Amino acid sequence: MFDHLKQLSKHANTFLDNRWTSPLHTDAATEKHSSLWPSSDDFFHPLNPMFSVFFADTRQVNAYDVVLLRDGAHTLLDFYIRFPTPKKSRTLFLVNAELYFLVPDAWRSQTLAYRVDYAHQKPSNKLVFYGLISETFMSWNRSKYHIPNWLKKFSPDSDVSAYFVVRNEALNHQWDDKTISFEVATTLQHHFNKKIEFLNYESLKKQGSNGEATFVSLDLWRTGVGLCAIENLFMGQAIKVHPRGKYEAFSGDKIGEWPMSFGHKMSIYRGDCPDSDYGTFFMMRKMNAYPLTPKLLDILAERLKVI
Amino acid sequence: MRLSTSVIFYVVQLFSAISNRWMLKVCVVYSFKPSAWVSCQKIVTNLLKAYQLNSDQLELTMIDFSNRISDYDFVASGTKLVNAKPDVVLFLDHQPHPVYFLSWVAREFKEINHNPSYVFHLYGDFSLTFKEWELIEVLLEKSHVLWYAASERQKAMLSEFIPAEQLDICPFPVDPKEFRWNGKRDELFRQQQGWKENETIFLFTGRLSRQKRIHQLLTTFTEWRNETKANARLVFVGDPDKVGEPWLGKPEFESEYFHYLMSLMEEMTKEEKSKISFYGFRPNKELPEFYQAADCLVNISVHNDEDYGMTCAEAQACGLPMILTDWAGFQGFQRPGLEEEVQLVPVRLSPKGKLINLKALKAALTKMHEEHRRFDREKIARTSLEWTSVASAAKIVAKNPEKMKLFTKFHPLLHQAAHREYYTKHNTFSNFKKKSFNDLYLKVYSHYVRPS
Repeated sequence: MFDHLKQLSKHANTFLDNRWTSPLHTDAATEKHSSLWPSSDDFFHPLNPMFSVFFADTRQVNAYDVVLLRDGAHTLLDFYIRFPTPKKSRTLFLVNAELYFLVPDAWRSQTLAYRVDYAHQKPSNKLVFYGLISETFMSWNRSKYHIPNWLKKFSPDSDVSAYFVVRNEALNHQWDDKTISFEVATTLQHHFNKKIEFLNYESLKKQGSNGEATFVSLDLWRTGVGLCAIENLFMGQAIKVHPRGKYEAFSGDKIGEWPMSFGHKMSIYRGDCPDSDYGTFFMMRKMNAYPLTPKLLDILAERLKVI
Repeated sequence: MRLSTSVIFYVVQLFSAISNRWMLKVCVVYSFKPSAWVSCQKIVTNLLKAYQLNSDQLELTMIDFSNRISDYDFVASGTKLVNAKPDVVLFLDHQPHPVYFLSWVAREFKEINHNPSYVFHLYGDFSLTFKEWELIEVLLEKSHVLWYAASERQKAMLSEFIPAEQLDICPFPVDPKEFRWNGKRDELFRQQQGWKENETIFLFTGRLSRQKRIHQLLTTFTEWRNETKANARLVFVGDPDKVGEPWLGKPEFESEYFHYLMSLMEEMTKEEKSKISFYGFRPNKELPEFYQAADCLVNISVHNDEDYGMTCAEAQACGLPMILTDWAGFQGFQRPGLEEEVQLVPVRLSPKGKLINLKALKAALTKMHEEHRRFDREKIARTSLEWTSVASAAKIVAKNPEKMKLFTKFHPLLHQAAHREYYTKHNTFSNFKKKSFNDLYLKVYSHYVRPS
């Protein structure tokens, strides 16, 4: 199977090759993709990395031989709700192993799982938090209970910097999300004794040259992005990255490994897991029960272990 | 007794006043936030040390001008500079471009009728910012200026744009406290890395970049080893980048070059792979260990920005023999007396790209493999530092006042290049339709190769 995957990678037509002239490229899809920037920034991988938001119709789902889906839980679920079965698609998909319980049964035979492996260490005393602060991806009425508990794992005397991306809601229209960035900031500040230093994107990247810093994503449960460009960049530069939520019940067979840099690699699994949560959401959507995010966050918090 | 004490006091005061009068007031403008480019961080630090060694003649005031500086800090830095009424304004850094600061400062100087001289240390990115340099022309009118290139060939290239009499050379310095030859090869470090005692270690340090031709080095080294059965290892220290070959229409995504290198490794046999080591990024403080333990530095870069070669200067300061391409600033490391210890591999420039003579590279690998033991590494380090140490750079910059010339206009080619940069949106040197270099590139960069 892994040899087949390697063959596909050598000859596959990839999305990034003609990113801006591809028929899959639409303003709406690019808007959604950009709403997740910088985590959704493009980077190369032979297995054709992309986000499912670019697939607009069934025909397009068959456009490539292999697709490495970088989606987080939210857009992944949206993809499967739009395309509950593969129909005629023969495309081999790879989905983040931590989110495999969202893959519908009909898709599992042609969906492998991947997991990014790297040597992570205990967080240092210089923490750099970063993340997309948005109601769509954080569901603050749930996160506000989880995050203070999670923060207890970090020393309150740490030096703390934060890079918050705050932008309009692309996928969810809510009026009460305007203060979420302040609430997240207050929650962080409440835990740490020292004043938080706020960063812009350039300063965030420059923090990478501080060998002591540990980078901590606020997308704990992978609602936003499964395979994050910032993590990929930092891991490649041997910068300390704090792990995000891990689905420990996942039990797929490892079929091979793919180096991503000199510091991290991607393990590929034949997908298998005891849980299957897709049906719940499919029914919710059928019943037109909005929004999905709070329920999704509950499931993710139950399935994924954060350290 | 009392009288003589006061006389001495006044004499000392007078002497101090006279000597201060003749101290040159220099405002050093650079980014207090370190550059994203590791080599530039080191260059700025070491150039600063060179100027500080002349503190008996120079009264230095440091001025911060960083990327994304706030308006408040920008004005504060500008005001500090204007109030200092310096004799010389010195631009030390490669970013942000001086024009953004100078346009504000020059206007203020005009108001107080003060006309300082200017010194610029130029980097490899000069040819990426013609538009900005063009704007600076009007600001430097009636001022004395001095432009420093880092190497002979960069100076030749810059003379296409800047009148040659205003140009001089100051190599980017190396601090011998950090990079020096310790007297013997570091066998302990070799042992720790699993490098055999009689194995020739060819070392590359720096970014793994397409224009640095890592892929060609990888494949040519493997071919050479298969042909000669030499007991040698190729060691890479550094991270891949995504610079690509934009002027040849080959941009790159993040990680793309890494996966390309890995695909080349995949095609090798297990034995071939075992003779190639990738260490990834290593902090600057760890590099001397690699230089002390290796046998030869090999760098076949044909990068457009290779105006100097900071890693080569540091490796040479540690006494390493080198195989380098005969391209741009690299040629300068073949100092008189080091003709054998530095092997230059010929490069040919053509519209389709830069062609490295791989046969000559293999010959150089053989020569270094067979002869590296007979080289006197102490002599290599000493000869190198005579030219590249902080102290040598200090001597060069001490003569700045004698070398400054009244600024005359840039050559017309700079204006042409600036217009091309503007209209082609930074594809100044690209023939986009043919995915090749244009005539401007061939004219400007012909100075980076040996004339045929």
